[in-house]
Amino acid sequence: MDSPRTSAWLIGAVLLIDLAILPWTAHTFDVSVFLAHTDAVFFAHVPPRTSWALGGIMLVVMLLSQFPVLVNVQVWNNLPVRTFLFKLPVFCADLASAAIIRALSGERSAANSWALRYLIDPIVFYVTIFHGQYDALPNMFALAGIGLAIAGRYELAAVALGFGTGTKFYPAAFVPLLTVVAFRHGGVKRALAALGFFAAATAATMLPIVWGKADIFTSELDFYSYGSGGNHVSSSSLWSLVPNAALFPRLEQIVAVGVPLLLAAWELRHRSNARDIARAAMLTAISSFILNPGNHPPLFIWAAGPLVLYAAIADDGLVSLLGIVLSSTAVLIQFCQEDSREYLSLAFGPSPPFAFLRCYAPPVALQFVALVCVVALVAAAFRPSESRRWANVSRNAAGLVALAVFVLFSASIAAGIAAAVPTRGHSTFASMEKNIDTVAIAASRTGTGQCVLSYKAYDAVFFAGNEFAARYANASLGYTLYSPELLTIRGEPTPTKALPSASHNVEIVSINQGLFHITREFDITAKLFPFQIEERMTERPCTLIPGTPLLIYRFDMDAARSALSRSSLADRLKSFARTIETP
Amino acid sequence: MLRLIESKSATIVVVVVLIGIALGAALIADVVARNVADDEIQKMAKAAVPAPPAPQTLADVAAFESSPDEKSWAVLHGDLLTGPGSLYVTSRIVNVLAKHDLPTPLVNAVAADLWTNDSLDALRSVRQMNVAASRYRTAREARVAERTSRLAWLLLAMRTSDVINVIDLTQMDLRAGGDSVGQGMNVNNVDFSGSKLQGGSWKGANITGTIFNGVHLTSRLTCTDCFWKDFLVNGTLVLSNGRWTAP
Repeated sequence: MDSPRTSAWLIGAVLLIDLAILPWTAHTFDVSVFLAHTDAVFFAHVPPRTSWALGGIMLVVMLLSQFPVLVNVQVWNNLPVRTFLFKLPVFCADLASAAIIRALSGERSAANSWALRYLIDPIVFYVTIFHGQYDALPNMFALAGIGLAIAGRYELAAVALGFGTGTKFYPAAFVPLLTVVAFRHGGVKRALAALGFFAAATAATMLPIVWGKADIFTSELDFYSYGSGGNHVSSSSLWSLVPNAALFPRLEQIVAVGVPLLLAAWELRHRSNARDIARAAMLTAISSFILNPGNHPPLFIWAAGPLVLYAAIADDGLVSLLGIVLSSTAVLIQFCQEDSREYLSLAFGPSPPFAFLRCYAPPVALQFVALVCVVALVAAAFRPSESRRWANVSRNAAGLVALAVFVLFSASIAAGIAAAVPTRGHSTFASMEKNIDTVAIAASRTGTGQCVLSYKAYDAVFFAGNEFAARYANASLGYTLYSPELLTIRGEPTPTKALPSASHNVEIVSINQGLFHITREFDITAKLFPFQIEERMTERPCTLIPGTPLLIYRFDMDAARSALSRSSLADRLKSFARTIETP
Repeated sequence: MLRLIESKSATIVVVVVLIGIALGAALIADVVARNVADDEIQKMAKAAVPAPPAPQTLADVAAFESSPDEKSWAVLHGDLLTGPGSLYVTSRIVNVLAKHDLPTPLVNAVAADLWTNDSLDALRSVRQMNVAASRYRTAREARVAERTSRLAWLLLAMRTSDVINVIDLTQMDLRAGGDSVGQGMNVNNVDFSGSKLQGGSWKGANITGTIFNGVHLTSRLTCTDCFWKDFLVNGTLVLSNGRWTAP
């Protein structure tokens, strides 16, 4: 592995393995949500920023990745092709990250082996190649920002971090460090310039998304950080090891934000060199996810880039080795939280789980390993430099361990895929998309006897005000247990008995994450047309089961797609252009 | 050379310290994991022995018994959501529903809470009351049988499609229940043996493992587009001599 030539060959082999796996595995729910979002833009003419609570760059890249589906509509249900296209940008982003690490490597003869070390990091391989999450993109911008800061190009570094923030927020954690480094090396003007460039790049990529819907945006972030009750601490956050941690998730988030500020302030003491900057960046990255109460295992990838970059600059095999342990722990925690069968159903339909990708230890024990690893990383990063010979030995040892883990992991995945091939059925994407295109809103009650029902869907009702999409949408009221009543909808008294109805036995999740059992639905599409974001109606007598009746909107994506597939490519492209121009 | 030795020594010290920390952490993790496991076992053991109902819950049940309305139910609803299930409390609530003509929305709300709190206890209590009432011929007992029959169907409607546990609804009078009976319901592994059932047309029900030995039907019972072992059976089936057959 030490020879640049051997490392280069290994990089080639790893990339081939990555490309071979790309189409076949993906996290069913996460990837379906993103694909359904692109379908809504292409086939329902929904403005892209509707229901989007992440960065603008991620949105653009994701839409571009799925553009072939708009050109050839028949591809929509070819999930291996769509998954491959979906993951391709992040695969390329990882390549760019590896190139940045290679360029900044302290020991030139080991540059290729450090690039390889990044590409075979268990969490990088898991998130980008296996799971299909877009964190490699902000990672690439974060690494570019750190690298440019090391090179003294503070303004460009700020732009890179701004783009990273405009992809998935967290690269903003490096801005205090960049500002301090720019201040110590270039003075106040350059520090302020860096801040200005960062603000401009962030605004350019985020404002088009956030403008006019900041409240929805913050409530989404709140939900992902603290859960629906505002008191959730993820079992993959280190805070979960603290008794009663769920009582103070906001305080914990402040600590997660405070650590990068302290690390930046610590760099005020001197003119930081490359190693100092990379070390502070690595610790910033680690604290920003592991102390985040809403952390989940794939976010461990945030540390992978800065960690390997530091290890490459410092030529530190021990940090590299600890990084592999931390990344592997994250992957193991993930398989304790979720069954691995989640990863095959898009390409193969319902499939057995991967034989070797399962929970091997209690999550709390894995959390302790992560904690020890982080403590050890801090200690290792601050120890004196090693001799050249010792550095070679430790780097090679870490590289070999990483390679062994990669071989085990990729072989397990290959075995799982091979086992799923003979039983290949229909992809679960179509049914997932139907669920995703179902928006259920729980009733909020006011008025005398609590009989006035209010429904507010924010922009989740993406066809409200969208003439094309509204044609393929329907609205219904869903009851857990129904009793005859008189509804007044938009001022018109309507006995429910007069409405078309259907009996069901379904579980529906409302947009505020409540789970409702629905046994009967009444179609009120005609009553609610044209659709609105907010509805109020009254009922006599009142339903007493909390949250019910649900107001359920369903969008028939199949019908919309069929209608659109009959139009010419030029018309589809024109519609798409109009859609993305819609504010 | 001295620097090399210093550097090597420092690395060795760091590695030794790390191994020490790792071993310590593994020990702590093991102890914590064991404690967690012990806690889980204790919780399970506690769950196996039903906890007595809280005094406040008993007071709220008594209030609902003396005045069964929305107000008294709202209070009891809170107790049921937060407290453990109890056959004693459940049977008293079922008793109220069996003996009073309450507004349908209130009955629905109580049924939904009974199901959430302890579905098996609720169905057990409903069955006991229904079977006891069915043995008598008085008008009052007939009304109890009718109300508990409706309640049984409401509880069955709450049964989600993935549930397969065995439910004993034998020897009951289940003729009352309205239009929603058998509509999309999951009656998988429900035993109706010896019960009286209303005829009619069920639709979209999961009839896997449903037992109809010796049922008394008021008229022909059919099942259209129903499910058997996760498969949709296209067309209509007819219940004949306790078995579903194609007409």
